[in-house]
Amino acid sequence: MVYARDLEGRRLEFGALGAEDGVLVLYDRPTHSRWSQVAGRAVAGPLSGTQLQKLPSLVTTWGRWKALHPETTVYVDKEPPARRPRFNEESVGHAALGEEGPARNEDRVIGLEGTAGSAAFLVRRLVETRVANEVFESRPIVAFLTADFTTATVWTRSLDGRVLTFSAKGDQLQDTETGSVWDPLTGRSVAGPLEGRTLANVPTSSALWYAWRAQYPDTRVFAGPPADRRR
Amino acid sequence: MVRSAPWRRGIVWCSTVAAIVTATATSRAQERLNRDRSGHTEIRGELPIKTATRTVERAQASLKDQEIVIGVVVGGHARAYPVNLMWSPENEVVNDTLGDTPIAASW
Repeated sequence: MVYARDLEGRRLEFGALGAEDGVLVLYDRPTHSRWSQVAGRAVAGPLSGTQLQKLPSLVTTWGRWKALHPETTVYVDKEPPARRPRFNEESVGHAALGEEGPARNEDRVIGLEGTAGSAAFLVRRLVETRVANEVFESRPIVAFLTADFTTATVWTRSLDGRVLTFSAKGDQLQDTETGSVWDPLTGRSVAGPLEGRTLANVPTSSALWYAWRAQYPDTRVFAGPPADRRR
Repeated sequence: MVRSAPWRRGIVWCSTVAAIVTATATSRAQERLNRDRSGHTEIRGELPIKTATRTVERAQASLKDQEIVIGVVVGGHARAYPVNLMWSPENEVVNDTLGDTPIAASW
């Protein structure tokens, strides 16, 4: 998650307090309010109830990111922590695999925050088709998962009043209505009648199921069995 | 994401049947990366605030193509945060400024 740190004319800095029921809890300076990292919302202290602006971000491989943004800069830590696990294409992609069944605590989810509620795609359920055409708060959307299972994006799938239906074509999207081919990382059509057109991005949050559910107990789970939908 | 305590142990090898090996490898990968910390509460007090004092250009980055990053673009400025640097609570939130915009990246 990436947040803007300016809030109503005040500049905040954030640090960690630890975990509460497994969910990372932050504090800010100068007010020492307590914040939920998943939601970007102050849950205690002087700023309680305040919401940070979540900025669109993409969890992906370095190879993809630098191809998308050749001019990118990179954060470098002064001292990397000594013992640390490696998040790479293989380990993150492999972690998406698993048996079928309802949402599990350790499931990786792609979370959506709407005006009235929230929803989540389980990455594990996108592994087979790698595409899900859904509707969220009256807006037709499509979720896409790359073939290595590391990178997920969500787009609005309506254009000029027409609703499009997508399927995966390798690491690209194709719409049934016109046959146009789309780049799922930029939302831009690269071939076909709609070439050059761009779908609107839907900002997402990458989280684990228990953290998402703790923040949004009534969240909707897309394409889930009834046990999930009841939540 | 939240990972704040030592590894959980306890992978049990029940069988050497290939299918079981595969399933165990999968759950092990899931355990490493997606640990179920749902019942875990450990408020440690205000840990030091982390500020991004160093960034490098793409060409200077010593990252492998397969490593996972959080990418963000603000006002035409793109920056990547390698999540392997954001392990453990004190590193999980990074205060930074991209262009003129103060941001906080967290994993």
